[in-house]
Amino acid sequence: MGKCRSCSMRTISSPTAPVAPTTATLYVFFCEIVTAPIIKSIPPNRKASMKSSQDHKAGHHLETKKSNIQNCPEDRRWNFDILNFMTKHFLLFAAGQDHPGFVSSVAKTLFDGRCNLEDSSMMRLGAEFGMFVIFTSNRAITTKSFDHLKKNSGISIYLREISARQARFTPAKRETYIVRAHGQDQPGIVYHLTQCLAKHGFNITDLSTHRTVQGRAPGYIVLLEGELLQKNRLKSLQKDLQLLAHRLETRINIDSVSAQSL
Amino acid sequence: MAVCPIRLFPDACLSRPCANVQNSGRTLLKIIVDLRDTLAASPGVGLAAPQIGILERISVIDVERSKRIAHSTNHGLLILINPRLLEGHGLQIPREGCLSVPDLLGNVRRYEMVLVETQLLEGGTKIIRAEGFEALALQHELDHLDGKLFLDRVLNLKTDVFRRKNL
Repeated sequence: MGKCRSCSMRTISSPTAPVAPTTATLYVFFCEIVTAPIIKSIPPNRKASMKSSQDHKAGHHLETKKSNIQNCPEDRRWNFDILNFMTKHFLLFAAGQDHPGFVSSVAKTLFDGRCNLEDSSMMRLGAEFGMFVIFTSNRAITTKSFDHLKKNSGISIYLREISARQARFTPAKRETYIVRAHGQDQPGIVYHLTQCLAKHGFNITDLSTHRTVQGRAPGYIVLLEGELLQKNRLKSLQKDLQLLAHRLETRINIDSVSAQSL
Repeated sequence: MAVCPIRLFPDACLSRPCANVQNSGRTLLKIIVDLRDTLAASPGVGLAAPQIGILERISVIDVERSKRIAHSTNHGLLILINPRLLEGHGLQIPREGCLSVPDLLGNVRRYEMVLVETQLLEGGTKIIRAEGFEALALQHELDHLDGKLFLDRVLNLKTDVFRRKNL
């Protein structure tokens, strides 16, 4: 039995150590049994992050049993794999008038809230800027945490808790296609195109549009990527897209995006 | 001899494949001279007949007009009549623009070296071997003759298409 260097709590050095069944020791046993398989699966560079004050108790026996673990300076994440079951996933959408410091103000709020950015997409449309962020946190994060952004910078926030499964990036299992459409601007291009795609079970994963105003008439470009749920519908989809192209007097083509591992 | 207005996207002429040249003699010569004069009055290095509203497989290219890129070897003014891509090798992903889409630039995958067969004004055919920027210009003009713009080759509107800051 030994003492923790940080808080003087007693720690177990061997399984046979006579420890009274107090709440603290039960907690330690719980951690031993429940988290031991998890600990084994943690990469060494992550194990070093167990020294946080927030997860101090859970780190006690790791410190004694895995004392040879070296601190890894690269791992500075707030989160700890051992406490995955406590980690919450969130989807954040922040939008407002574009200005220098937009991203940093949102990022600072997340940093101060000890959140980890998992995935993000940010863009400027017109004079507005938008951020889509998936982040994790062990703390309770609510829209109130971002109230100062609305007040100080006029940034609107939408926040929703999502499951770990929803937060995870899942690579496409089906063939991916890219669809390009361009022609004279007219009402309903995106609607007609996406309706045709949806009818054939085409799931859009990325879509961008652009309007040009250089010619005599404004032009419109749509570029989208997605998966075709049933590959045998490709021919009928191509046929319908050509009919739509003729009807809208727009050029539409669909190509397979083949990824080759070299 | 005339400087013709350049058709701009989304003009229908730019998305139609061109027919092989049927004209000969003075009519063909007039189209070539118009293309050459229009190119000379523009900031570009190549011009295809559909860009001035003529749906025939004729194009002119002169990469020496570009001041930004050093060309070690090039053919100077090239007149392409019914050109055909024979071979393409290598890969380059340049950021290219188009006189018909003046406000945008795009990252497009192109061959680094191409062999193009073209008919000659005086009769017969010639095979042109071009590399680098000239190869890019040839492929760009061949696309025009097939009714394609660089927009038909970009893979992502967010990462491959850019607003042009200046011509």
